[in-house]
Amino acid sequence: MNPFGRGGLNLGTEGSRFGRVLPMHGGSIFGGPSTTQNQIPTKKNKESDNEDSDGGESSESEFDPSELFNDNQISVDSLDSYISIIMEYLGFHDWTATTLIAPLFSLDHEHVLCDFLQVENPNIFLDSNSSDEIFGEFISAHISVCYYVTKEEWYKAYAMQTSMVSVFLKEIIQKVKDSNWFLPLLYPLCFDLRRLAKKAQATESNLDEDSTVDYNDDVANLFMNVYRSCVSDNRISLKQSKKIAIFPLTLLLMQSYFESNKMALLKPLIRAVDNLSVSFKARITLSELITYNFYLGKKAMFDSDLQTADKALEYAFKYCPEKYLENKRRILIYWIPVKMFLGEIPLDSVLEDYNLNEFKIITQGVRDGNIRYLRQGIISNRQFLMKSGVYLMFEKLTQLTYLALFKRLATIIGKPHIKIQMFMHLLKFLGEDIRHIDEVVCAVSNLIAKRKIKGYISKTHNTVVLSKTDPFPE
Amino acid sequence: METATPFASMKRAERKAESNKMVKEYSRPAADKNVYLEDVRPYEVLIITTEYLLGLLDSYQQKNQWQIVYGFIADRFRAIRQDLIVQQLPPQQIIRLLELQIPFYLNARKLCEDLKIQNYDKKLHHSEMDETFSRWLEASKNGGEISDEIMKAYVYYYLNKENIAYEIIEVFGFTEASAELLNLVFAYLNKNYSRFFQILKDLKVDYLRNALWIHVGSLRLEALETFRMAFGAKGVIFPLDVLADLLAFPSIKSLDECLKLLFNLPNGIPIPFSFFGLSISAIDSSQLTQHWYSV
Repeated sequence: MNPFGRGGLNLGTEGSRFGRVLPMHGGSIFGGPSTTQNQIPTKKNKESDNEDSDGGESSESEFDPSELFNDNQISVDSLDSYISIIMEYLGFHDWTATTLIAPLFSLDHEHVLCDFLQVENPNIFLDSNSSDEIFGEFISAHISVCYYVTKEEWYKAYAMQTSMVSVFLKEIIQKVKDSNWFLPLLYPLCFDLRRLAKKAQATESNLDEDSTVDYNDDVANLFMNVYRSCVSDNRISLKQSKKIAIFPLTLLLMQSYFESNKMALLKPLIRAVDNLSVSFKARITLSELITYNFYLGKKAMFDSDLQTADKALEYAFKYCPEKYLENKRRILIYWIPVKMFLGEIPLDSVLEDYNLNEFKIITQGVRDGNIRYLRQGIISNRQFLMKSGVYLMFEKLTQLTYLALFKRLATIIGKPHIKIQMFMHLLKFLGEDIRHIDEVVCAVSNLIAKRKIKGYISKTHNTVVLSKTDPFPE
Repeated sequence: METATPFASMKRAERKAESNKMVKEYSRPAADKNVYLEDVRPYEVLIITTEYLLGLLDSYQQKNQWQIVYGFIADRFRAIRQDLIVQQLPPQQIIRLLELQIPFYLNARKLCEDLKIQNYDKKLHHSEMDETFSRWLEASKNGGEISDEIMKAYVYYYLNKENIAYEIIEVFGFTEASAELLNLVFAYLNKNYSRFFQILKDLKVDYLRNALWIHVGSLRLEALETFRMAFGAKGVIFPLDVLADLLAFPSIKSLDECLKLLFNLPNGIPIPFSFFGLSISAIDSSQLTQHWYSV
């Protein structure tokens, strides 16, 4: 049952403007269930509390967030009820309450499709003396964004969302001290801003091929400003410090920097995460950790730091739930070449299970030393490999394939002396473009220098002399 | 260069200016400086100016003239690019102008480093090279047609750039020319020193050789370190002439200098040469001496 009483719009109970099925209770970046308690907000009986209080203590100090989960569900069926429930929950100035109400600012939530919220410029009248008056502005802005999203006026939605995040930074994050209860609102605002930027960018590119505007860059810069404000907060208490927002912001920035190929900017972010105190790290959810390790592993792979890449991607793969097949597949696209560089070739069954049949001919080539298969696999899947950003990684597998082929040759010959010319003929037979014997000398030299082959080359005789003991160490 | 006797040693006040030699100089942009439309040279004038400046290279080829020629042309080319940017010329015109400038920058770098020119600032020169190539690439992405030779120069120059392979495919597409360039990129990535140095030796066009030349030092260092491991067994000799040829050294003498520096051989190279027993000195690959770059 849709608690928000949709009417008029018939887009299905779980339609999404971003082309994915809306989870009932929010979700992580990879579409898993959110680990935050995004349940339908409940109404707190304020009147009975007010009767009981002696008027001396503030309602905030008496407020027990767990009570929010005890009451009956309520229906938001009008603009007024939407506004009042949000203001009520924000009025608690409590992290849990804000977390519960945050989905009502998310474009993934069903309320976006409600008829009564399709207002371009809602006039929201709040008590101007209230410290929470600014949130009325946010509600108004969000309703406008919902309107523009429904009309697919992406640039307007993007512009309004940008204003929301900018104002959130200037008027709340930078001005409110000794408090961080409002931060759960930041996350849906930022997530949606990224996606709206992409939509606006796509629309701009369709209209003007020569356009050089880059909304994704603008968004990344804005996120970085938010990040800097949070990182510079010196408070150490979990209930006060804005540092608590570092991790989710890091994930957003990682996504942006990968998309714009600015991976050098990830280094300080990773360092800041490593320096987070234990109490802050304990707040990180599993889905956030999986996402973080995915990007960490991806970066390490591009930096040729295979050990870090292997560890991080293994973590991401292991803890990503099986039902998120597509996410596991994404992780494998980067983990497989890393594993292959470390000497482990995936089984065909793994590739089939995760719909990575493109890699079969490549893995077979590397396993058997069949350089022809490797080349064929790379050429026939070039677009896919380029789009995934692993094209160069697979090209670099040439050396390992040469090693496997050389091992087979050594096994066939059965003696420790192997003529370079023999290896050259074999490579040429398998279709390699070898123009001079010295190219093969260089290839074998590199394998010896990397200690993949134990032995030496006699240049005078152009012969590889293998060690009698363990010429191919693991 | 705008006077009757540009290379004569005389006081500034004594120099006689010749108006037909005057070319608009680069003017550093500033917040309070206005750009006047009448000062911006149209495309036709920019082409004539570029060709005139390139003509000076043919006219003044002596090494003792190079410092003045280089300083003058580099500055005036910068001014041409300034006018080019301000008026937002169509991509093909931008490409035409920049493809005339690019060979100058590539050749100039080598000549300045060989002659140890005083007013040569390596960083500034590199950033101007970057700026020129970057505008050229942008114009190419915006639909301008580029020459195969300059495309090669671009790839050779940026051979060690992380995403050069992706750029080749995305910007230049899959052609015979780009396939050959990709082969070189992969050869570089897979440490195929033989292929790299053979291509260098085979290049006849000077600016293409000079584009590839910037990678020579670091690759030679890497190759020698690798060969020390692969050929470092007792009794294994490596003829110096073969090694010099493989790494495209112009003579055994220049190879000797590099070996002495790398393996700390103050008493000279052992003959016959062997990598056996040699230990490597710490050498900063970004601070290699001229010997490493001799071609």
